[in-house]
Amino acid sequence: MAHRKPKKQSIASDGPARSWKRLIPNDLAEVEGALRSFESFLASGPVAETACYNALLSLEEAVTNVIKYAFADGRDHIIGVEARLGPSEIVIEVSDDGREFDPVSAPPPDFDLPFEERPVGGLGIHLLRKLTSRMAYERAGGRNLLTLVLELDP
Amino acid sequence: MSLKTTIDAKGNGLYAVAINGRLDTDTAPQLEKQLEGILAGDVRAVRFEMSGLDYLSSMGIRILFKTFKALKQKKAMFLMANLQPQIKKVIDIAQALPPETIFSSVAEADAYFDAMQKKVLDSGDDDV
Repeated sequence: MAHRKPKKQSIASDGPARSWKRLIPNDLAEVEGALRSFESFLASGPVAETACYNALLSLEEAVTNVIKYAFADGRDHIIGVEARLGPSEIVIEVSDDGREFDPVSAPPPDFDLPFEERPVGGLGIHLLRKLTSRMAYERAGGRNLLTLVLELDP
Repeated sequence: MSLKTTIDAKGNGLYAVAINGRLDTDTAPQLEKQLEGILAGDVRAVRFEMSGLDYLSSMGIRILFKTFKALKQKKAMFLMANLQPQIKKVIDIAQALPPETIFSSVAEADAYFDAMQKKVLDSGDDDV
């Protein structure tokens, strides 16, 4: 796995890789490879099936959201993703140099509308909110940084 | 590769669509294309069989919801059967599709379709 980085020495454990990093070009076709790599990383640690599913889904939602909405200039951009596996949680960080956008304060979909009248799409951030125990956003140095925290025992 | 779909036209306007594998950013366009053909024709219902679906993301939900809306417009039915627990959970928390479209078995979903068809016939006037 070319993109796997030397791990930050964190939690006391000489087990498998505890952190994972990858650079993803802003192309939806690139998401699949990143997800499969993240899946192998998760499988290398003691991560239960539900937590693994939630983490994969969170990464996909966060990254596709950036690719779909952050860039309007038609140029190539790189999205940085990083994950750390702690004893009780997984922390995922997604950073990009796209337009400023804070998913944490984005309004939720209007669930009062009858199903037939709801717009198609726009559920990604809502899912992220539900899957994570904490979400934090920061804009610094012209970059968006989104931090997602997920419980290992949800 | 990661999504396998089989479509079976039952002849009474019911299309049985079995989806296996992953329905996500990578594979959603593939299913969308396959469903377009069905939705363009004379369809009374699409029933998804999902026992082999292991992973669903918002890109996949988007296609399911789009199909739900298109069928509603045609006064046709959208049905899902045999969802794995994690798939049902994602649909639940996304609040993306009406819970009454979820059935615990194919037989149950098809029986519901049959009953509703009968009701339409009995009431005499179709959806004109």
